[in-house]
Amino acid sequence: MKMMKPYVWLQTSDDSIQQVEQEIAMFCPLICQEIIQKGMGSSKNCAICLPQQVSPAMLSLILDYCRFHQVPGRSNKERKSYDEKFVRIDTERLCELTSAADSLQLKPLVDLTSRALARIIEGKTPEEIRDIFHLPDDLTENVEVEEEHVDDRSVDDLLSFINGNDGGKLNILTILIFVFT
Amino acid sequence: EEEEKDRLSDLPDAVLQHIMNFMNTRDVVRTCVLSKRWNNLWKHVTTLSFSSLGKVLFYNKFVPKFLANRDASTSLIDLNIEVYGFKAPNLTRIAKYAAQHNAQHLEITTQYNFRGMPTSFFPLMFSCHSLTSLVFGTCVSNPPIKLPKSLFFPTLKTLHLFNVRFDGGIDHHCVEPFSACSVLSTLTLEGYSFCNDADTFCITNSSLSILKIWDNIIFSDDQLSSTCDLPFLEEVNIKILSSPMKYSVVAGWLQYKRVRGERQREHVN
Repeated sequence: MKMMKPYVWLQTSDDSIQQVEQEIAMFCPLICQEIIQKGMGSSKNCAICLPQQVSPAMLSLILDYCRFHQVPGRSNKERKSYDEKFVRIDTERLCELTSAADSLQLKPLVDLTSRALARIIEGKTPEEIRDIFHLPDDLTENVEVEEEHVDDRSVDDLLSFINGNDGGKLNILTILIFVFT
Repeated sequence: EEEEKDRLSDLPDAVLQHIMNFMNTRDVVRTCVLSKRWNNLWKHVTTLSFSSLGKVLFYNKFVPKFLANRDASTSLIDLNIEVYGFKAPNLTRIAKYAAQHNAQHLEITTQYNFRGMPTSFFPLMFSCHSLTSLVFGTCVSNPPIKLPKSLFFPTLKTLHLFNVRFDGGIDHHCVEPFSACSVLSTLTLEGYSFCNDADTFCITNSSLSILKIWDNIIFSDDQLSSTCDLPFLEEVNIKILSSPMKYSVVAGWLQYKRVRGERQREHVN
């Protein structure tokens, strides 16, 4: 078996190159593949080019996460409480982190951040969700056009179960989507 | 200016759908009005999570509409349902949908006022040959749910039953529900009541390696058949808080195996 080199060279989206403990970096399947299959990362000249989603700030967060979980003998309770604190960051960074973890195929972290994002989205009205994530609303202008085709009876039927959940405009939209799909 | 960035939209569709898998299905559908991109994302969600507490009328209408509109070519992976007053046709519809869409993990908890599973429910579940784990039961305040006396789950690896009962039928045979689960490896029986008084109960399974028997078990000692046959049993976990007597009975029942030199671990909590 080939001896493990203790450090690996990684290049982040801003073209900066840094040295990272190989044992930690290997937690990310994408980095692991580059090292094992392509023999990359052994020197500064053949640094592993990370996906553009991975900024230096995100890489540092991800390595913190890997470093914690790499230590053997931690209890599930310790890991869980670390994870909970780890995702207590603003939603913008949480999205960036999800994106970076996904690009590195680091599934446990994708699950962790996705669950945190799900918790933010759940139970909120569409307006609240748009506000939190700065999502532009590109749907409202189409409402009138589609409304003409709606069969009134279906709307009444559907209203009874959507009713009371959102604002009126959004109810109609939800119904439209159910009717036309 | 930096703070106004829409980072959520930077995520690929697959990740947005993954996020939806952690949400209850009602909120998943509501995302369809967020923007054009979100219009159809919800249709590919692979985890369905229905909890009808306090929303029985809503769910009885929502479930069929949701199933009819979800993308039919996307397989289902997880299905979690908390049933409060679901109509029987809806449960049948869900079971049929799960079987047709290759569901792998199923968790069904029924709550108060539950009137029993429709008769077509278990045959549909037995036909779901993608199913690898099943959690099924009802809350302790309900009478135990009656299950078919034999469970034909040919692909099931993990089974967790709580507050259920098996019925030996009119001739009061030995009830042996797990012998047809040919790849079962972990079985958990919790808050369990063993069949009718006149029936005997035995666990026979050719693949089971972990058996967990947890609290609130209702049975009389002579109902435990000494013909348990579990050749691959490696670990037994018995937690009976309410009655130490019952612990020794169950432990004694499984003693049969230890005599044959199987590796076993038993825990009393």
